[in-house]
Amino acid sequence: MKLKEIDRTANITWSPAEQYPVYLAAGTAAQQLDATFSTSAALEIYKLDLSEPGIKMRVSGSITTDCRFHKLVWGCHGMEDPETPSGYLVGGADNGNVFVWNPAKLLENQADPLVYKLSKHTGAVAALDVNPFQTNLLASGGSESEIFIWDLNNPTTPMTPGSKSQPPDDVTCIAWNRQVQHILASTYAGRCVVWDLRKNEPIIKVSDSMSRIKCKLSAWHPDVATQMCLASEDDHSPVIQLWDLRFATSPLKTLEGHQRGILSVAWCSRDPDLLLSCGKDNRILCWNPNSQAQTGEVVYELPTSHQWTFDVQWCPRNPGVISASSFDGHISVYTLMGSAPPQRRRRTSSNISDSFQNDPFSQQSSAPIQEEPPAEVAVLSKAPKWLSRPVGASFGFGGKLVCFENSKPGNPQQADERLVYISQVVTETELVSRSNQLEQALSNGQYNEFCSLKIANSQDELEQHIWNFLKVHFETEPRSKYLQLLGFDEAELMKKVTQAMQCEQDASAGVDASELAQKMALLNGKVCSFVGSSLLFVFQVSTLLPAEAGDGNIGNGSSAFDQIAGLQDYSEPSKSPLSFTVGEDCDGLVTQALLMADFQSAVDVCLHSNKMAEAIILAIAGGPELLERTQKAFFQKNKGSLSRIISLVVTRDFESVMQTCDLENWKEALAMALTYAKADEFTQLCETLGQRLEQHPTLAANACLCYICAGSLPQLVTCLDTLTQHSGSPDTLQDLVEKVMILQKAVELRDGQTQQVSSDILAQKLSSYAGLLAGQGNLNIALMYLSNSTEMSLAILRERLFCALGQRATAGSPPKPFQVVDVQPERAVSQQVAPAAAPRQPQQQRQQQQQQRQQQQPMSNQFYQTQANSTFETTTTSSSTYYNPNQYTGQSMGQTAPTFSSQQPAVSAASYGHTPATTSSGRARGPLGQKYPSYPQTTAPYDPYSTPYAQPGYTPNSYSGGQPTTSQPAQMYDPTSASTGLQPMSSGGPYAPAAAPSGHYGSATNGPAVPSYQENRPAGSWNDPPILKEKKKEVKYEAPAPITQPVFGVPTEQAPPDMTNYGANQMYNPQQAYQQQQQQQQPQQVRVAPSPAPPKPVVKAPIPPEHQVLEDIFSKVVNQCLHTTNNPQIKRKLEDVLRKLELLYDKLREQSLSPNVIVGLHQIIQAIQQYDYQTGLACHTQMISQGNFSEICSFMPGVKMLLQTAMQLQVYVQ
Amino acid sequence: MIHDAQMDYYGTKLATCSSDRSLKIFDVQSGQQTLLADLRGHEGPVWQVAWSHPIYNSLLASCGYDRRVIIWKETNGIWSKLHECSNHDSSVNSICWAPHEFGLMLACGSSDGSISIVSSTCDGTWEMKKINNAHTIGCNAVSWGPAIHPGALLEPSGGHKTVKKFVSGGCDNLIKIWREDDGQWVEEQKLEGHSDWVRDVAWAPSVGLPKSVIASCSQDCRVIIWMNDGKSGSWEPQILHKFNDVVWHVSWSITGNILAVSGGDNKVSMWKETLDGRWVCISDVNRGQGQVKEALTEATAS
Repeated sequence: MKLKEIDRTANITWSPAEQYPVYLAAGTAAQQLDATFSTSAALEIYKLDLSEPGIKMRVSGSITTDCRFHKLVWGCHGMEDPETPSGYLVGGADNGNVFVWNPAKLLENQADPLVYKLSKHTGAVAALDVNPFQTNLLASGGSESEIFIWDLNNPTTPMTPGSKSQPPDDVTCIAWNRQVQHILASTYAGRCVVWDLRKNEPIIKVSDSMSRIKCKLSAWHPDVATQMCLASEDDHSPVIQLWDLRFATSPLKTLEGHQRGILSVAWCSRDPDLLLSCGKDNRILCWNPNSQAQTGEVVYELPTSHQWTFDVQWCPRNPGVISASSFDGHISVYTLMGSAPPQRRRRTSSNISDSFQNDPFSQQSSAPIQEEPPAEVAVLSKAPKWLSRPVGASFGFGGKLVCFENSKPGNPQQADERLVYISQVVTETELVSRSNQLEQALSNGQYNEFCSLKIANSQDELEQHIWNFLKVHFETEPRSKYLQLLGFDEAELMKKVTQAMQCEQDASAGVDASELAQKMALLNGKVCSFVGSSLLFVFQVSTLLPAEAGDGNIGNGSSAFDQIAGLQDYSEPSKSPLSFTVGEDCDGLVTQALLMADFQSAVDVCLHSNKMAEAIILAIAGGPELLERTQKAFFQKNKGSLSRIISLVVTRDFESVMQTCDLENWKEALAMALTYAKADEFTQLCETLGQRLEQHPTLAANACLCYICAGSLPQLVTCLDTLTQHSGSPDTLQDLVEKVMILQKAVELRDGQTQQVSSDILAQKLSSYAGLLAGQGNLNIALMYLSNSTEMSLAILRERLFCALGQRATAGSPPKPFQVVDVQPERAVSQQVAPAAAPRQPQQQRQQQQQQRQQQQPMSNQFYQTQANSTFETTTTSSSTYYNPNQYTGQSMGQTAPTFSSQQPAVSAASYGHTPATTSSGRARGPLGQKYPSYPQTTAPYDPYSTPYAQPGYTPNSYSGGQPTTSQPAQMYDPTSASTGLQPMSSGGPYAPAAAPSGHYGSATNGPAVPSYQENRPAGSWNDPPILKEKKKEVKYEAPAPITQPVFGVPTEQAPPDMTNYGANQMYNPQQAYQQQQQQQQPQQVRVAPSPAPPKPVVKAPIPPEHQVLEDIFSKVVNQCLHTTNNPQIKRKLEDVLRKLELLYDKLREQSLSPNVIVGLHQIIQAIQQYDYQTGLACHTQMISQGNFSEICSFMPGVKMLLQTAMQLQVYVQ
Repeated sequence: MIHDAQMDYYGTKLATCSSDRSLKIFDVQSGQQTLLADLRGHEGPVWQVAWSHPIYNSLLASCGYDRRVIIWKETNGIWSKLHECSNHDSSVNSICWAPHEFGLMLACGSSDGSISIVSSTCDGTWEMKKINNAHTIGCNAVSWGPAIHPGALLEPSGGHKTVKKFVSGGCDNLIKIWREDDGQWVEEQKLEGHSDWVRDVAWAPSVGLPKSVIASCSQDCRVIIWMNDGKSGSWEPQILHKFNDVVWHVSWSITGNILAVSGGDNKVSMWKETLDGRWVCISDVNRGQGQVKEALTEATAS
C-alpha cells in the first residue's frame, strides 16, 4: 500500500534508525532530467508523518546545490553531539565531491549546513556507505576504482583499502559488512572485491566463472557475516546471486525472477528473510533469500507504475516501510503490510510519457516481456520477523507468571527452543510468612500465644493495647481483665482505699484527740439518736405494712437497712425515751406524716428542708417508686460530677453515660459498662461509645478498643480502616486481618457460633486479602478466609480458588457464581429460526449437551442425574435468550424486537397470552416464571440451571437484563426494567445477586398445599452447596396441588419486593415458552394437564457399613440439637451442617477419603459418644493441621460447627 | 517459535501458539503438564491467544498472520472451531476479550491499520464492527478497560453506566483510547509519548479506585505508565524505564499491582508502584533460577 509520495526525480536516503521523527532526504539525481529539463539541483528533507492524512510529504528543510547526486547516505555519527543531533548527511556528487551536511541545521533552515566538502575523487561519486560499527567511518567509491575511507572526525586524509582494483572501473556500489567491521565489499562493472581493512588488501574476488553476470550491486547478509548477494544489471542475466564467501567458487543460490536488469537491491536489516530488488522490468520484488527454493521465493510484489524503479530502500526505523524511486519523477513510500490489493494502477503521473509518445524509459509499448504479475499478493506471504513476538511474560491467576522466550537466531540451523516457564511470583514475602503464622495460630487454636506474640512485637502503644484487649477475649473473666487494662484494678483500688483511710486517720491524729473525741461523741450522739429512733420506727412500720409496700420490696428495703445498720455499727439504739414532736416545724411534720405512714409527704418535707439522708432513708421504706423519685430529686439538687455518676449508676442509665460522657473519660465510661452492663446491652453500649470516639479528632483510635470489648467485628474493621492511612498496602491489610480473625475467633468462642461475614467493608477487606494471598500463590490459605461468607465478591474469588486448586471434581465446591452461557456454533442459527424447534431437539443431541454441561460442571453431578431422569429438559439453545444483542448493537429495541418475535413465535405467543395479566399490573415486569408458575411442566426448580445457578447466580446484568425484551413485545415492559438490567449493579459488583427466587415459586403458586420450598432454602443461600435432599425433593415434586384453573393472573403483588429488581435475571426457558404456546393453543388441555411424572430421585450408593456409624451419630447429634434449640440462627446453622455432612457421606460412598481422615472421623465419633466434645474438637484440629485440606475442606467446617453447637447446647448422644 | 502463552481464568490450563501454525492447550494443574489439544486451523504464524471468561465456557480465541481470527470451543474434551472471522486485509496481531459484563465481545487489531470488534449473541450469530484506519500501517495491540466503573468502590451507589472502552497501540507510535458511543466506536483520546512502534498496551484491572492505568511498551525500548485520575480526561504519562532492548510485552497481575515487562533481551522484570507513586523494579525473573518452579517443555511441533 502506498503511503506517501514525493514528486521528485532524486536519489534518497532514510534518516538512521536512531533518528526520530523519520525523515527522508532527497538529492536531485545526477544523469537524469525530468520533463522540465530543469538543471537546478537541490537537497531536500521530507518528514514521514504517518498520522497526517494525504499522500504528500512535507518538506522540512532544503538547500539548493550546485551539483547533482548519485548517492546519499545518512549516518548516525555525532548524534550525541548537540551540534549534530541528527547525525551527518552525506552526498556523493557528480562533480567528484563528497558533501557532508549537518541535517539538524538543514531542518531548522539555518545557514551553513555544510560541514565538509571532500574533494578527492576524480570522477563522480556513485557509491557511499557508513560503517555500522564505527559510524564515523565513511567509505566512498568513484570512478577509476577509487575508494576512500573517511574519518568524519578528521576527514582531511582519507585512507584507501588497498591498491586500486584493476582494471580501473567505476565503483558502482560499496558496502560494509554488517557483522565484521573491517570488511568492505566494492563492486565494479561485473566484479566484486572484498577488502580487509586491517590487512589493507583485497581478500577475495567474488565472480562466477560459470555464468557471466554483470554485478552492479552488492549487499551483505544482515546476520551472517560471510554471506552476501550480488545483483546483475545485465538484461540477459537479471539475477541475484547469493554467495557464501566460505565457498566462494559458486553462488549458493540464484534468485531468478526479474526479466530485465536489476537496478537496486536492499536487504532488510530487521529480517534477513526479506530482500528487496527492483529492475528494469518495472517490478519491485521482495524475496526470501533464505528459503529452500533454489531459484528464490518471491514473498511479495509491489504494485508499481509502468516506470523503472531505480532504487529501493528499507526504512531503518519503521520496518515494513520502504521507499522506491522511479524514473517517472516519483519517490514513493510503501508499506509491505498494507491492505490495498495490488492492482496495476494507472500511471499516477506521466510527465515524461505525456511529453513523448515514445518514452525511452517506458517499457509500456516496446517491452515484449511485459506481463501481468503472477498471483496477487496483498501482504508478505511470509510473516516478517518484526511482527513475531519473541518473548512474553503474562500473569495468570494465583501469581503465576507464564514466560516464554526464543533463542536468538545466532545459528539459523539450530532448532528453536520451545520452552514455556511457569513461575510463582512472590512479591510479598513478609505478608506470606505473616499469613502463615496467623493461619497456624488459627488452625491450632493458639490465640493466646498469638496475641502475646503480637503484644511483644507491637511497635506502638495503640497496637499493644489492641492486642492486649484481643487477648483478654481468650482469658477467663474477660471483663475484670478489661478493667485492669483500663487501669481499674480491684486490688489496686482496695489498696488505694485503705491508703486513703489511713491518711484520714493520720490527718485527724494531728488534732487534739480528746477534743475530737468529744466532738465525735456529740455528733454521733445526735445522729445516732435520730437515726436510731427512726430505725426502730421504720422497722416497725415495715413490719406493719407489708401489703402496702409491696411484697418484694420490703425484703429489699429491710436488707438495705440491715446493711446500713451493720455499716454504721450502732448496736445500741439510744435508750433515751422516745418523744414525738408533732409541731409545725420540719421534724414535727415528718413525725406526723410518719405516724400516718405517709412516706411521700415525709420525704417531701425532708427534701424541702434539705434533709437528704432522712429523705432517702424514708424513701427506701416508701417503696421503689418513691425511692426513685427521691433519688432523682437528690441528684437534681446535687449537680456535682460524683453525684451524677452515682445517679447514672443507680438509675442504670449507661446508655446516656455513653452518649454524654466527656470523651476524655472514655476509659471510665467503658469501665462502667464493663462493670455494670448486662451481657445483652454491653455490646450496644460499647458500640455507642466507640461511635462517639470515632468522631473525636485525637481519641478515635480508642474506638477500636471499645469494639474489641464488644466483639463488634464490622465496626472494628471500619474503624481500623479509617485509622490506617495506606489501607491498601499489604502490611496494613495483614495487620487488620490478624485482628479481625482473632476477634472473630473470640466472638465465635464467646457465642459458640460462627459469625457470618456480612459487612461490606469486611468482605471487601477479606476479599482483597484473599486476593493478595492468591496473588502470592497461597491459594489454600486464601480459600480459608473466604470459607464462611456470602458476600458476592468473595464468592467469585472462592469459586476461582476452588477451581484453581483443582477441586472441581470434589463435591462441595461452590457453585459457579455466574450463569454459564453455552455459546452456540453457527449452525444452530437455523434451529433458532424454526419456531419451537429447540425443545424438539433429538434426544441424542440433548444428551450430548447434557454431557457437555456435566463436563463443564462436574461438581454438580447430582443435579444432572436428577435432571436426566426427569421427563423434560432444558435446552442449551435457550442461551440465546440470556443475552440480548440489542444492547450491544445499540439498535433500538423496536427495530429488533419484531424480528425476534417473528423468529420465535413460540415466545411471543406465550407472552401474548399473558398480556392482560402483565399489563394490568404496574409491576408486571416480574420474571416469566413468576407469572406462569403453576404449570407443572414448567415448574422452575426443575431446571438445573435455574435451581442452583440461575436463580441464585448472578448473570452479567447486561444480557440478562435485556432478556425480557427479547422474548416479549417491548411495550409490555416497563422500560425501566430493561434499563435497570443494563446498568451495572455497582453495589453488587459485576454480578447482580438474585434473591433466591426459587423459594417463592412454591409459596406463591402452590400455596400451602406444597411444603414450602422456601424453608429448605434459606434466603441468600445461592452460594451454598446445592441442597441435595432427596426426600425433600420427592415431597416437593410429588405433591403439587392439582391445578384447577389457570393462574395467569397471579397477582404480582405476591412477588417478593426484592424480586422486582432482580426479576430481569430470571432465566427464560424456551421450552417453557414452547409449552406455554401449546397451552395457549389448546387451553382445554392445559386445564386438565396432568402433572408430569415426578423425576425419580437419584438413588445413592449406600455408605459402607463400617462407616455407617458416622452418619448415624452425626445425624443423631444434629437431630438432638434441632430438638434442643429454638434459636433460628442455630437451626439455620444446623441445616448448613447437614448440607456439609451430606458431602461427607458422598465421599464415604465414593470411598474417596484417605485412611487417616477416616480414622480421625471415627475418633470424633467416639468422642461424641463419650460426651467429650473437647476431644472431638481436638481431633478436628489435628485433622485440619494434618493437611489433606482439599480432601476435607468441604465437610470439616460442618463437623466443627456441629461439635461446637452440640457442646453449647449440651446435647448428649449415646 | 512461540509467540504467546496464556493461562485461563483459573490458571489450570495453558494455551500456547507458535509460528508453526499450531495452538497447543496444556493442563498445567498442580505442577503437572498434559497436552490436551493441538489445534490446527491457521495458515500462518499464530500471534496471540486469549481465553474468554468461564461464563462463556472458556472459549479460546487465536489470531495470526493469515488474517484470521479463530474462536475455539471445547466440547467433551474435543476442541473445535466455533467461529472464524477473516475480515482483515493483513496480519491480525492482537486480540482481547472484553470484560464478560459487556457480553461476548472480542477486539482484534490488525496490520491493515483497522481494529474490528466481533461480538456474538451466543446463539451462533456473530456481528462485526470495524474501525478503519485506527493506526496507520498497523495496530499492534488491543486491551479492554475494566467493566467496573473506576471508583465504584468509593461511590458504590453512583449509578454510573459503564462505558465500553479499550486501548490500542500501533505502528504510528500512538496509543488510542476508543469508546463505544451510541453503538459506534469513536476515538476518545490519542496518547503521544512513544517514538517508535507501540508494541503492546495493557489496561490495568480496576482495583476500585477512581484512577485508570494503562501500560504501554514500544520499539523505542520504553515503557510508559499512563494514568487518568478519573476526574479529568487527561492521561498523565510517566516513563517507567528505558530498557536496553525493544519491549515486546507488558502484563498486569490479576490484582493490577504488578507489571511484568518482557524485553527483546529475553529479560522479564517486575514493576510495582510505591506508595509515593514511583515505579520500582522489584525483581528480574531469570529463566531457570530462583522463582521458577515449574518448567514446561512444549512437545516438538510437527
